[in-house]
Amino acid sequence: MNPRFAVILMLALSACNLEKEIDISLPEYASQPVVECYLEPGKPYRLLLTRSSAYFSTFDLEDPAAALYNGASVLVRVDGQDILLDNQLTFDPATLKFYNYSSDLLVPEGVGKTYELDILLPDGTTITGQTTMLPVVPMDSLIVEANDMGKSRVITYFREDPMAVNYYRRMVNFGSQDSTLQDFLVTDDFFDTELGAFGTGFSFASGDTLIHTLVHMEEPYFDYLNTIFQSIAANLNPFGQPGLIVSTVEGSANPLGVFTGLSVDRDTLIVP
Amino acid sequence: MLGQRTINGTVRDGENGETLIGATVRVQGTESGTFTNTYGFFSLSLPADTGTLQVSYVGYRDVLVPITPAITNPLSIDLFSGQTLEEVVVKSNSFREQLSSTQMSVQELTMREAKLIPVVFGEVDIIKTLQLKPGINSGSEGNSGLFVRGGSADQNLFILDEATVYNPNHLFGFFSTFNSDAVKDVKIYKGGFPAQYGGRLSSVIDVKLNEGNNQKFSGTGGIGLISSRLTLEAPLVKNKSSMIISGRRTYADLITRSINRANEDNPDYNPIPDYYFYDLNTKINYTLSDKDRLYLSGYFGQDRFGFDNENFNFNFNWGNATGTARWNRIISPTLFGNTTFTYSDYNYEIANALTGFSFNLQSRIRDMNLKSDLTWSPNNEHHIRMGGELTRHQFTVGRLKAGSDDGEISFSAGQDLTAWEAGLYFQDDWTINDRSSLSAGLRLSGFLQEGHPYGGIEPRLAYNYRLTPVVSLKANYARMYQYLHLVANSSISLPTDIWYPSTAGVRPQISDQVGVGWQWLLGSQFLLSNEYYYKHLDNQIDFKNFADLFANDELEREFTFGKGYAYGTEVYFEKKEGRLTGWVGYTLAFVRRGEFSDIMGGRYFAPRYDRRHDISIVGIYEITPRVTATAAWVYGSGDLSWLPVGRLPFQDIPGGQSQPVVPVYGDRNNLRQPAYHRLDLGLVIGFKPRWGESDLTISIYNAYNRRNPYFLYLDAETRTNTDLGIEEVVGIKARQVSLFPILPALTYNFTF
Repeated sequence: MNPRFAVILMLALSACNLEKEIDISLPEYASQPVVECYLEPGKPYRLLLTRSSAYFSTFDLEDPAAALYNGASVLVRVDGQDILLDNQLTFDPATLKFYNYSSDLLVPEGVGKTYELDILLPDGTTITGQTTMLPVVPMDSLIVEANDMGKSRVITYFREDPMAVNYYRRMVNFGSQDSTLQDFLVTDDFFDTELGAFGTGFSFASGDTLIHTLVHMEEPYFDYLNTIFQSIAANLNPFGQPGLIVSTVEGSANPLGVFTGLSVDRDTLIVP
Repeated sequence: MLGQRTINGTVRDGENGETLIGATVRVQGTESGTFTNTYGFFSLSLPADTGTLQVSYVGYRDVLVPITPAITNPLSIDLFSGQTLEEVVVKSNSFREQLSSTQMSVQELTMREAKLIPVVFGEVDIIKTLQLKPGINSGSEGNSGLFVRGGSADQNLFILDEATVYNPNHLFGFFSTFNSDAVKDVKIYKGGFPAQYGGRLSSVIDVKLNEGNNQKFSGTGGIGLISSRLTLEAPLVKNKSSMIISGRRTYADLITRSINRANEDNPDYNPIPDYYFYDLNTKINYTLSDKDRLYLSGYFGQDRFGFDNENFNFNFNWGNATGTARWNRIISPTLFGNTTFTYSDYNYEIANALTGFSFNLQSRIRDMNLKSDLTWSPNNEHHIRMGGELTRHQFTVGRLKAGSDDGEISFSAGQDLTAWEAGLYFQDDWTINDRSSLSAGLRLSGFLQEGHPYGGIEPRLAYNYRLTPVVSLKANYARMYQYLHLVANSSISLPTDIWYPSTAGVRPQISDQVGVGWQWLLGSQFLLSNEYYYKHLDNQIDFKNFADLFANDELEREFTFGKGYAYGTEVYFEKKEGRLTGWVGYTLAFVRRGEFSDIMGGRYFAPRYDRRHDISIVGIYEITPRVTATAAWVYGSGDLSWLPVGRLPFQDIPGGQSQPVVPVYGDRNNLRQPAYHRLDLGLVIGFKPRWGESDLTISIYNAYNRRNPYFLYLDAETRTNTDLGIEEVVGIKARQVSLFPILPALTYNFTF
């Protein structure tokens, strides 16, 4: 290559490099405990207690579990019974999820049951939460439609009460649960009809496996997840407006996080 | 008084019949004089039956008009530009006029400045050129949004031939809707608002369109990188009636469509969506009699974004339409009347269809306004303006319709609202004596929305004291009410930003602004101005945490209300005469908002556009009569960013994507971005072909390729833990994204 041309090309390329790393100094941030506990009937009681950290704090690559918050007393109360969760690290290979507090007892069936969470941290501060199990809103049907190009889409129909205020999360996983195609939150504020539907694009071929999930959520869980999603988006979007995470737990430990019942309907479909 | 008489008339450009705004009409040899008003009309009392009027206007040769007892009202006075290039003939007496005027906190933009000073992609843009004046910030790089003296972007009133323009932006704010070829005059008021203006707190941008050449057929146009434009004007009845039509359109879509067509058979090709915008301005005027003139003008502009294939169809269109019908009448030698009916419409629509289902979201604001103004000059000491107006606003807010084509599934949302707004005003511009003058005005405003009334008393005062023949001291005060509010959650202008009225739960915004300043005429060529201002803002609107502003049945539930204040100083040093013209502007500004119950516990915070220092240096140098060079350098302290201070790990439920880093945000706008600075260069080379005039404009935006911050984000570097199959964070970096590198552009312009 002509050296002069190479210099001009390099200058042109460097001119178009519109993103660069910069040094900034953020205000100080005090770590907060973070709770994640989803109670699903028929599944064991499991809870993840971690710590938030300053954005630029260093990572301990030798000990990825350092972010776990151990040594707390974790208690879930239901039907007048106290269930103490053991501080032990468990890993669910089917879902690739970790928990550092769990019990062998299973969450009982029963719509309308109220669960209370009490956590006493080693420093004496507390975290509390409360949730009520909602009914599962089942998916009515999964309909596959193909276009002229041989690609298919799936429409998920479900029925719900348009007179009540309901909150939903819709997910579609492709192949397995760790590959997410769709994941969004919706309320039924705007539903005029009992029948609702979610659809995909014409993106699938025969033999593709799709896992459809419809989560019926309490409003506080909806708000928590919505603020999590929006916080992630706001960091990367110049049009986005950041905000504060709205947790479902509270207490003297100034916690972040969620304690909620999980009312889930899942269905796996192999595109014909 | 014996022998006293009043002369009135209109001052026009003799070449094309355009009325001239702000021309000076003076009794030769005396200090007695006046200016033509917005419609080119003047009224002046003479001490005797005879005398000589001296009429002058920036860029034109003075005209002397002998007044004899036989001369009758109204006069029609034609001015002609100089022998050399029209725009460079400038009279320094325009500085003297500024010195003696009570009006301060106003910036004027000449079309010469707008056309010569390059902006991004070589496109002429009056709003971006206004951003080079002190006290006026852009929201972000390349954006046409205006943040005036600490006011937010919704606190600016854009008026195009007396009709409100609700969204003056194309392409997410990178271009404004005003086609400079059709524009005759632009003024921006930052404070000391005359009483005829109301409805916004922070600024008024008053844009007047050309009326059309009533002498001969003529045209002007240009071909640029982004768009081309053409303006045609012609007399309909010579000296009586003329029309102008002006259009502009971008053409990137013509190229993308060709690329899409060339790849039609490629199954792996993702077609590029269509995008273009266009503006169309038109105006007709007719001289009914020597006392009556009728004008009809209209603007129509649209942005169109679309994507279409056999299974999926998406269209996102937005735009403004305005219409003005205006009747000017010289009622008596001292009384001038103007009656105007305007229509204004802004709407956006997102329509999406995919086999069997459809989605449609629309918002809209439509105004119909009737107003009448009188200008009365009982003598040379008092110039009185009074008038009234009534506006009907109709809003469609977030109207959503979606569902299946068979109607079994249906979603809907949205609000339809109607409101009435009224204003009555009176203002006297009083020349007290040779040294001092006072403008005292009062505006009474009212608003009615579904039985909920609001009213405002808005005093306006401006005082000028001529300390010496070359130094003036000025002061002003203005209270403003704003009854309409822009629902926008970003500092960037988006087409989905929508207007919302004051209601029972949403009180009108109020501002009180006081300003003091001085002006010093240095020789005949330089004017140095310095102003200090303080502005208090009440009933300010912001939005709750992660407000849903897109489709919402009760939008105002997302509002939170607070206060604000802004203060600062602006220095402006300007040279209008000679081969080198231009200005140096400096602004020192502070702005705070607070007492919002849902934001930071009511504590005060700085908004994103709290820019501490702003400097602009603009030079226009006429190398030869046919070659002009321009340079503009701007510097601004960095805007503020709201960045996360902490992070938390989020595991989620089975099937959900674990997020090793979720940002945790704290106080708002917690980091100042790096400073912004940029140099733009331009060279205009004129030609004289047989059919008229043309020029080639070469411009370089961001000449030294400064990578200015557009936005900052924090980037987490992750790696996959192969033992556990999860993502773990190994590092965090702050990254800055810039928008425009060095951008050369070439534009060809012509006039015939």
